[in-house]
Amino acid sequence: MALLQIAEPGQSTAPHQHRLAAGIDLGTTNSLIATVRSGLPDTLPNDGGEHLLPSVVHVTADGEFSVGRSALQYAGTDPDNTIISVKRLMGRGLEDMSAISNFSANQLVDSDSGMPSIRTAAGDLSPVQVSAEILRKLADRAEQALGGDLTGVVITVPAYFDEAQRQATKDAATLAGLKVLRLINEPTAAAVAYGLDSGEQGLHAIFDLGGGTFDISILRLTKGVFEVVATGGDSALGGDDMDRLLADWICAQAGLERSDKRLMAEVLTIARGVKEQLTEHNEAEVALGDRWQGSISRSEFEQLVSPLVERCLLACRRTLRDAGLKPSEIEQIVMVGGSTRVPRIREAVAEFFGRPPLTSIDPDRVVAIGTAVQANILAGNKPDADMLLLDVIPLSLGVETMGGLVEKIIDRNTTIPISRAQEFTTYKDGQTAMAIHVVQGERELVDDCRSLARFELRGIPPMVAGAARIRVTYQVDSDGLLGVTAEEVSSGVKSTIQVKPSYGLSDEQISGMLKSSIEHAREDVSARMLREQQVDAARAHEAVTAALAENGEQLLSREEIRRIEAALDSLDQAATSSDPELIKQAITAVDNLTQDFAARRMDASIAKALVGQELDEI
Amino acid sequence: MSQDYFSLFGLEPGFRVDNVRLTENFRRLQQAVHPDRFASASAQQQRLALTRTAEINDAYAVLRDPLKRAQYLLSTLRGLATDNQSTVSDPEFLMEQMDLREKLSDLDEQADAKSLSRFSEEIATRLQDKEDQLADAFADPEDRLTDIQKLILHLQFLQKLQFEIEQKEDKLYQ
Repeated sequence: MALLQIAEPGQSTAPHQHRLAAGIDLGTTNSLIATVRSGLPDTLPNDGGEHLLPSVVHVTADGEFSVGRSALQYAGTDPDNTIISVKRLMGRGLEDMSAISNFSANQLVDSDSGMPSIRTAAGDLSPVQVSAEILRKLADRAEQALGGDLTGVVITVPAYFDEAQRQATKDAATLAGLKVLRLINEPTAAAVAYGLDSGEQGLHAIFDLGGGTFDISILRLTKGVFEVVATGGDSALGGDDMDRLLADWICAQAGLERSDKRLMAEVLTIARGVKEQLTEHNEAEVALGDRWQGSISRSEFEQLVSPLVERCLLACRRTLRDAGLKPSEIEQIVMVGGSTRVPRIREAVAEFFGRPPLTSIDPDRVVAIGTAVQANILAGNKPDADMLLLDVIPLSLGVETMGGLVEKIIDRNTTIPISRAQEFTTYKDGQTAMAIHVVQGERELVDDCRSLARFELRGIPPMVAGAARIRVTYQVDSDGLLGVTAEEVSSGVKSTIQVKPSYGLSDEQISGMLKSSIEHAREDVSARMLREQQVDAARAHEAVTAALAENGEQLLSREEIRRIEAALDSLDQAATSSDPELIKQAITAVDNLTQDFAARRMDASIAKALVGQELDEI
Repeated sequence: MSQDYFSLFGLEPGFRVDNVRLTENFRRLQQAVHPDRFASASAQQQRLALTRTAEINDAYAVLRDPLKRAQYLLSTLRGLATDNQSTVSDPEFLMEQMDLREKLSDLDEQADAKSLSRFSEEIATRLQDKEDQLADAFADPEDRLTDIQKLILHLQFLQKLQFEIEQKEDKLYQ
């Protein structure tokens, strides 16, 4: 530990009230919400005591939504208006067949956003809208349990989720009226739940076997900082495959015809029950009504699923290779996902890594629990916490150059946030516009990569070929979201454009949807805007007051302090008015006046961060 | 932030970098300015934190990578950026390149994990060798500018080759 405490800039030193924050595990099959109460993180149940909310949404012709178990009931009777596994569609295009394989062909339609829409009796719905319904349902549950509005949420995404998928997830939260403090990776959340961040340093593996997907991630921890070193897995491997193998076995034993779909669905349900029984017992009865009676031992079951276990281990081996590691170098293995309850999986993992995995936290809830811990810290409820989660981008980001080639601007596995600029030039005399095509992927040809956005930079002053200097800047924020800017710098004429990936919704689309959803809820739009501005005003006031108290006198002249305090007074006055625009202006005034101060504080804390080390070494 | 990358991390400018200290200081700076530290601060502070952290990450990525570090060092010391297209007469390395390219395409015929990883190790050794030579050359940048430019091109070629080997390895696992 450092002798000097590492700086905690921006955190209020004044005591403040506990802020309500929650962590959300937005899963393919089930979703959960968790929060920290009296220092302990836990998932929140619904009225019926159920923690897991099935990620299923049903909509009626009148546009009435139901979410969870009540929606699941329609899966058989009204499948066209029941949306299951919507997470697979987030940020994906219709051409991603793997994403849409469990949706019927006529259920999905092309849309402007690049993502397919889902055709329902209530009209075409974006996957973002459907996910927003799930998030809203969870947030309602938390707000009821906690007795107040949530200040912010942290939502988990798979570590391999790309820019478009993260953007879609964040859009869904915005649409649900939630403030996203951060998107974090699911494996990181699981590691946090086990308190692995409290160790000094080490490498950890997160083994996540769900119903339909398998993910393995290697994390490195160094003094409270988490880094994702490598991720891998199999997007078509999970507990459902075990059920299917077991169902096949039952059919073979009982000599059943596989053509009867109803019967097959029934056998599959029985198979799932048998699998669960074999977790606790060495033998399970299989009863197919009066058609067939039998039993299966655990070792017979393990024989059946051994090819699946092998596939899991293969993915583990590959991911370790990517990270340049041997199994024995992994210190802890965290088990996530309901399918890790199967004893054979636990044994195989223990054999592979040479040590037993961590299983004490419910594998269905571990991700949500870790997310709640992070949400609590980010909301500012634990100002002395030094845990920091650093993420890397999973895929390289580049730009199309002449001949359909890709020039990489940011390499994969670069720590985010990051911004990087590259200069390009015109290739024709008098060229006044340039097309910029943003792509993602590791391959050299544009056609092999994924197109994220296209836009044109116009208004380049006519020059001879090669004379213009077009600087293209990519900026990725800490949630992994990309912004691209292009400007012509040689002539001093600047033209800048911000793009959002073509796979997301535009800001207008979101605010449009938000408006209509608020209208639907009969909430007053202007009241909501006013409330948001008041919260922002309070936040700005608190931040500036704390900053002044901390090092105002060191960094500012008396006159500067006086002017800032005057601006704060006007902000207070504005905050009591009912005009959101007026409050916004007062916030901007304070912002402008303190810009320089904030920059000086940031420089001071950068300097201080390294000063701590000088002392450390004495 | 007008500070150069080396002093940002409290390091002496030069091609040889104390990697332990670099990483250690990188984490310290992250602790101080990462946007997560400002999650409940004002929008202004969040923007500032994002910009600073992005700068720190960019500087870290440059200093951590020998090729990028050499290019950066050359551009700051000499005030000139390295030009990818510049052709330096270097017949010896040309032969080496052709030889290695041939080896790689031979592996196309019968790529197995073992021979790929053996080739990859060979390239890693060569990379290390070039890095050592670069460190020597950078000790005397005024006189050995041409050497530095040559060696940077060598590094570039070898890194690209290494990348291609990795891609072949990835295909084996698919």
